[in-house]
Amino acid sequence: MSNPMAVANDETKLAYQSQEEFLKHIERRAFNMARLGTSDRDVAMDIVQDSMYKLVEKYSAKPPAEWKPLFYQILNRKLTDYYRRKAVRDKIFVWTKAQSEDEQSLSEVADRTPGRPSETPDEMMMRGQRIARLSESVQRLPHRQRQAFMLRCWEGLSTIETAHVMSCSEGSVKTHYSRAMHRLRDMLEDYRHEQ
Amino acid sequence: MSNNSQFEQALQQDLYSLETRADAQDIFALAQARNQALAQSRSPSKKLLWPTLGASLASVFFAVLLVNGPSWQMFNPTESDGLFTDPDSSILLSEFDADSIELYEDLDFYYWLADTDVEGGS
Repeated sequence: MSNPMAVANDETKLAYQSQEEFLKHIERRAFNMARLGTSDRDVAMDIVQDSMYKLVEKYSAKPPAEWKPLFYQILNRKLTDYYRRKAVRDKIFVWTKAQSEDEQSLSEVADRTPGRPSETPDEMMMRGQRIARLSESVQRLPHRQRQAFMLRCWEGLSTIETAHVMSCSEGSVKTHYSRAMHRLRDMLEDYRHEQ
Repeated sequence: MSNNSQFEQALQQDLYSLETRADAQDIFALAQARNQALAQSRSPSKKLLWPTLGASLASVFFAVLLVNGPSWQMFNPTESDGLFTDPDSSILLSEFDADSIELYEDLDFYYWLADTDVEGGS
């Protein structure tokens, strides 16, 4: 597997002059990814904050082109740690497995859409509903498929970069991503007709 | 454009628009988290904390050791310890030990001698 750092695009190199600028650019997406992954606002915020800390603490000296893959690598490890802890906790406290409040509030987030300036109220409402459905569907994906989907489709990382972030082969990334897309297509059958 | 990439693009657009839906509270919390993370890089490095602390503790330990001094008795045993012996007496002891060893080695001979004396006498 070739080094994704070497193939990081020039746009990334030019885009971020400082870590502050990079974090500012990436924080909302990272937070939304973590929130979709955890279904918990506070946990998502903690995970993003920890990831920022670690990036600044350990990798400040690295060239800006490497920040993005490194940041997502940290974020994904923290999410994986969270899933492991949650799995253990759920085994111990089976009776507290009730649906978290935040899970319900994800659709509320979608309702608060400002939409695009050109969108009519109907279009805004439709988009809000679509996003709520999309969020729920993404949450239902298995962890590795969700990772591959978010990194490839949302963040736009290349297969090599995603493989590096997920610590697996490019073939695995392609498999996870393809399966994620198939599942999403099944779950969001009528999605395309609403565009 | 294939259906697959159209679907992918549609998902992408909605995911991007999800980013614009953040609460003011979340935006504030993220900004706070970012500033805190960046502030640590401006503060003095914690990397040197443990080596410095370790070196300080080691120097304190050696200073205490030097002031109190090590127990020289360990290296210079005295008579009271029962380890110190006079050179002459040690020679005597070693001679005694050599005789004892010879005696033990020839023990069978002395038994035989004693037996023959008893038989001769009787």
